[in-house]
Amino acid sequence: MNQNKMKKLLPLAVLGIAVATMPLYITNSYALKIICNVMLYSIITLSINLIVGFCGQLDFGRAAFAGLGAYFSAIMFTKVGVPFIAAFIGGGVFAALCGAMLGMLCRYTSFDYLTLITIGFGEIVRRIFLNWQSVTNGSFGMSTQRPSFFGVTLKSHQSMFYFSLVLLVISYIVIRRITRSKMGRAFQAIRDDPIAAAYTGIHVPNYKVICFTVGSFFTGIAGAAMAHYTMFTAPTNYTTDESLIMLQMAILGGLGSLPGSIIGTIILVVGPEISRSFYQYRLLFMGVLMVALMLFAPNGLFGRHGIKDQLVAYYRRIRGKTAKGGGNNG
Amino acid sequence: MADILRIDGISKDFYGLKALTDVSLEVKDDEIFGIIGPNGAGKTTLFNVISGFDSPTAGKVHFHNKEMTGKGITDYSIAGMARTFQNIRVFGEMTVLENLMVGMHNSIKTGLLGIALGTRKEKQAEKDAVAGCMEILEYLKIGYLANEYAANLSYGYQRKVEIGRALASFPQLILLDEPSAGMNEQETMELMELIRGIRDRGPAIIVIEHNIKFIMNLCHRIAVLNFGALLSMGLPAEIRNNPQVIEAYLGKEED
Amino acid sequence: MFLQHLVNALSVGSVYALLAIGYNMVYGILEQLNFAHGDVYAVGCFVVYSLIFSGVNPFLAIGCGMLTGFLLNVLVERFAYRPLRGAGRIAPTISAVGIAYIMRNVIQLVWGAETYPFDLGILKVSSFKVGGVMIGTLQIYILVIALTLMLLISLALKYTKWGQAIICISQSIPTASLMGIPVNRVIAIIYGLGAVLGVIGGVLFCSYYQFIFIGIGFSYGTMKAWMASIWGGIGSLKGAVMGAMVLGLTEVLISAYVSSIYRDLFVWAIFIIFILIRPKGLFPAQVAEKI
Repeated sequence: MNQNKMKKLLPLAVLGIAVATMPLYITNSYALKIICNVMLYSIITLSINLIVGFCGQLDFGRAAFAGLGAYFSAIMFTKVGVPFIAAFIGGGVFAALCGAMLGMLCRYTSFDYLTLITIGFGEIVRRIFLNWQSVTNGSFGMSTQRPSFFGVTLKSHQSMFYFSLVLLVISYIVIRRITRSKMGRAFQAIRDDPIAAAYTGIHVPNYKVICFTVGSFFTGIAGAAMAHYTMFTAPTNYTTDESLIMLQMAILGGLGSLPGSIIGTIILVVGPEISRSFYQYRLLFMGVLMVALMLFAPNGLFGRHGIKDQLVAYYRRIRGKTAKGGGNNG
Repeated sequence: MADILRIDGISKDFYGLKALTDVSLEVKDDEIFGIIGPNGAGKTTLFNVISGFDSPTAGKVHFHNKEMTGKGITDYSIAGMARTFQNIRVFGEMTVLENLMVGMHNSIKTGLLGIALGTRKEKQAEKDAVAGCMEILEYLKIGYLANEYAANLSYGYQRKVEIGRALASFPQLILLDEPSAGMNEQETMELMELIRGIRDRGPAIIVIEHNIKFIMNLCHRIAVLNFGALLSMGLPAEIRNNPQVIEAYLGKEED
Repeated sequence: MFLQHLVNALSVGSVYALLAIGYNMVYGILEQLNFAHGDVYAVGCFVVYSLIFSGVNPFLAIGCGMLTGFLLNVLVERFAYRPLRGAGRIAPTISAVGIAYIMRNVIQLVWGAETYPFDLGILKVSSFKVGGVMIGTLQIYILVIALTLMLLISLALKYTKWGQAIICISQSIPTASLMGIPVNRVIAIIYGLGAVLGVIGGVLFCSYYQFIFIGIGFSYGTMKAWMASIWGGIGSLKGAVMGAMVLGLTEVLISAYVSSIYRDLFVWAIFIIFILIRPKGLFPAQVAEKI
């Protein structure tokens, strides 16, 4: 490893150690709970980034897939008695299969209809959660247990912290690999110009299905993990409004930027916790944020030409001016 | 000297508007074939039908002696056809190198598992693909732009990226739709050299153009379209002297 | 019994038609999913509610509501949509979502999230029987108002200068602008009119069901308008009306003959299937895609 790479990796390594040792110095269980929430929500945000940011499919129904993963895992583990790991991974696979179904519905549809289909799909799934009382317990919600495998049950917040951290790290690495691969490029090509993409031999309808399938796996896994953490899941967690909040996290962080997704999630999960008394202004705040972002920074914080890029450019301009004695740009 | 493309009696209607009427022609696998005609003659529509974007209302398309009528864009691409567009279509939010890597999409053999696990095989396939694309970029003299975002480039460079992307799919036939649009004299000469060089490297080429001098000097054979029908087809000299063609198209043109 | 359902469906359909026309006019021209359509006119409906509640003359109240909706949508268009007109598909859609949220929060803060009784006080809600079918006078009013408005709008589109301008803009904004059409002003008026139609539709809806609440915007307005516009065909007024009627009919029939609990689920399922089979709707505009 050369000098440059070491310089880049050092802050990352420091951050990594700081995060990995968090339970040692953050002992407040409320704070740990929020951090776990952030990590699990980040997985969902990353999956949204993949589908919306990299592939350009504006999906307004992601929450339903978190629900599909949650309910499947909860039912398999708690009601049917399947071992946890199988139930949990099964939740992801189930969500992925449903994602494939959604992808099949969307194969040939253009932008706006696609969004409407995703809303419709999400609504149908939620109503199934609500009305299929015998399986899902309907509006009362379903209780489930903490993860337990290899004879160990993750009862403490600390253990759930590490469970969530491992999930996040794995998800991040895999999604990052996907975005830098032929599959990721195909997604982006479809986003930028579906016709030109088809002309390069990419089977656009098939790739849309793949995109929804892969993305939904991660959404489902995250949803399942959340359900097992809170030991409860209910249809009200998976409304269209919830989907829009998740989408917001990805947009705020910057579509197309994976670190951005994490930052966006942190802001939108921790923010409401800090100012709980402003709950009644929540929609107003989010609405203003959405409009402001679209008007001034549609690529969010870390997207291309996003807020970070604009700040850096501004900083460089100022630096350039003072270095050259102010005023004249060479 | 076989036929790489053969179309028989192609007609295309759009809700009653007859865009193409009974067009037939063949293109050999080692020639540069030109298509000219006044605006609205149906040249781009012909490209659309040839490449699978539109299905013909009547007639057949044969590529590599296989009938491809009614197949989609992706099928034609996999069979070995590539294309550039009148209004340039690059992937703006991706770098120049990534644009070409997309062109190489079907040559890169990796799967989801390999990608997810980051296997050595996948990494090697990526490395090979990058090397191949850089070679094409160097050939096009834009290697230094490899990491520029395509949307930031000027028109002329974007055109080159489009051609590079087409080359990256190792096609046997390339369709160029008005490649010299917006270019000055010098750039047009370079483009002519480039197209000749590409033809020597392998693929046959069909070019749509308005620049008559360009087409006459570049192409082995030329077809003239007018009002969706084939007016004339043959060697440049024949076309140049055909009174019908002159009347329909070349009449007011200064040479 | 079936005839009764038909009559009910006509009323429901007419209301949906009004909402759909307002929505379709915007979408048909700018091809933008106006996510905030319902929530903006909902504010107008609540204004009507408050004014009537304080004893203001109902017609004046409705007028104020219409004006509120008009001004709101014009403002929203000016500041949240117009700057984004060339910025791709995602940005304007998200901006509209933001506006919807803002409107919803405004309603929540000013009026609250409960359901309130709604009564215009001018319509003698009586009914009479015709051959075994119960027809309410309110239902007749709704149908008449809806049909009149639809007729006026389609005549205006065909025969007035403004109507022609709207059609031009729906084909190509740059060209229309080059021809001297005041594009910005026309688009602003379209948004405004869309909201006005929405307020009228919303007021009729609330009179029919005798309540008003925060959800009449999105769930009953935007969503239904989407479905109606997509079933009927984007870009055609006739399509929006037909789509709305079909939607009304489907809802009433499914509720009556299949299941009222799962009604929405079935409607959504049919909606999705419909999009798959005939994505351009029943009466699409006939334009080929060009590259």
